[in-house]
Amino acid sequence: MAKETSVLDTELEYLPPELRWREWIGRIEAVIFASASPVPRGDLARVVGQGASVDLLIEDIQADLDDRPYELVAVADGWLMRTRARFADAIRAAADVGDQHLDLDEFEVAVLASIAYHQPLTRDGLKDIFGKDISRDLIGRLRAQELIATGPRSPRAGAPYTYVTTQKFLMAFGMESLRDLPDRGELEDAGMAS
Amino acid sequence: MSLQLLPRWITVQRDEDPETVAFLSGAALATLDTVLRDPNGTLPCALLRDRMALDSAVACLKLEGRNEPGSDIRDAVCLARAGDRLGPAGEMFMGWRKLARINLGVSGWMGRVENALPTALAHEAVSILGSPSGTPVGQASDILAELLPRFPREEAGALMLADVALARAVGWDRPVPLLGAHMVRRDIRAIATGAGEPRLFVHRAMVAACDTAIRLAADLDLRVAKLRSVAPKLRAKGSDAALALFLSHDAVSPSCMLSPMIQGTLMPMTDRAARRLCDRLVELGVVRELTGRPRFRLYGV
Repeated sequence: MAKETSVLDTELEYLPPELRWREWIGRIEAVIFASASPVPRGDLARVVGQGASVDLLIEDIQADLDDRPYELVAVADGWLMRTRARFADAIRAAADVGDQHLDLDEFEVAVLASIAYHQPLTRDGLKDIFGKDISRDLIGRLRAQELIATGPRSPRAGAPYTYVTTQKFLMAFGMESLRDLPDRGELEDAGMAS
Repeated sequence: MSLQLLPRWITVQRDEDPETVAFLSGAALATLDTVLRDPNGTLPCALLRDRMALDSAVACLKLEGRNEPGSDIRDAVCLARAGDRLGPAGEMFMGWRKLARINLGVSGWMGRVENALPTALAHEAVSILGSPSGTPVGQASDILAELLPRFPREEAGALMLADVALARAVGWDRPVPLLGAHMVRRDIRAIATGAGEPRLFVHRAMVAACDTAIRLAADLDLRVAKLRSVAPKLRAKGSDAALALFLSHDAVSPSCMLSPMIQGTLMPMTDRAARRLCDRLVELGVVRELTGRPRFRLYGV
């Protein structure tokens, strides 16, 4: 397989420019479609010509998908195809997708959000925020889903671990970076934080 | 002899006339250049750049809406063990730290710049830094004017590339985190939206950046002179290697960086010896304890 990809003709000089562009678009769309995880720019650049702008190709694909029920989005470390949010109910009604969606209750989401805003954060830090102990189980569940990972030790007695959010966290919530977290001021205005 | 700070006529001006600001920035940069070329051969340049990297990390995190104080960022980096994630603040510092250590004079520097940049901008490095032309500030502001409108949320990466271009244009062997800590949010926003005059903003930031850098250099130069003067009095095995760490790192953690092995060497040092050495350096007045904590202490010049 590796050998085949290494001889992939990326320049496609025998094609007129317009068809060449269509072929590159097709390749990028196919690569992203075939991948379960976000595809980084570098991987995409390998299937198109030297001078082709991955960004422009992506823009064209996004325009093509305008009226489709799925979209091509930029997430943490690349591009991903996913169904549009408004079709979530239909998808849920038609199929059992239990394994795919995050199985988090409201409180777990609140804990996750606190870690996202205040990371690196220890269980003690979470306790200060929520006014009660956050169980190791809950932390364990978030870790098992790879939404958080251990960060630097906290400089306190016992050197407890801190927790930080992961790329998968960003991906799961459709964010490109932590800056997509709602502004803390806005949250306060909405009465969701103090 | 202590270093000459920027003369008052450069720092007191609050003139907004582009020509005046450009003139002042040129004078400030030329003065900083002389300082960094280190005619006395005493300036701890690596330590200076590391401290400035921390300042840039604090400033860039603020631009991203994260208000971590420098002490938290320092903790994240000093207390993380192999395999731990650093978190957003620690990663920001590590990015700037890596950048400020790249030797621009040896081949492969471009790859290391890409490595230090945030992922979203890594692939831009080659085209952005590839064929430089113009004055140092001109190059830096062209880079910001090119990148910020396209990547309005990648301020840190854009500022990193601007600082690399600046260093190369002046002829420094390593990037100095200058603009990273001194471009103000309002000006960055203006460049990102295509309003205002990037060059004027960068000139203005340069005056402030050079002033801060020279003050810091003068301070570190004095402190390090003291540190070097006590070096012969230290009898601990490995104390030379330990001092080298103090001369190149914002902070040193005895338990993570000096023991069981002095970082960057194969020299072993026990936990106890590491703590004793740090205590001794504090006693001699050449190193400060930076945290005020009884445990997990960090020491720095």
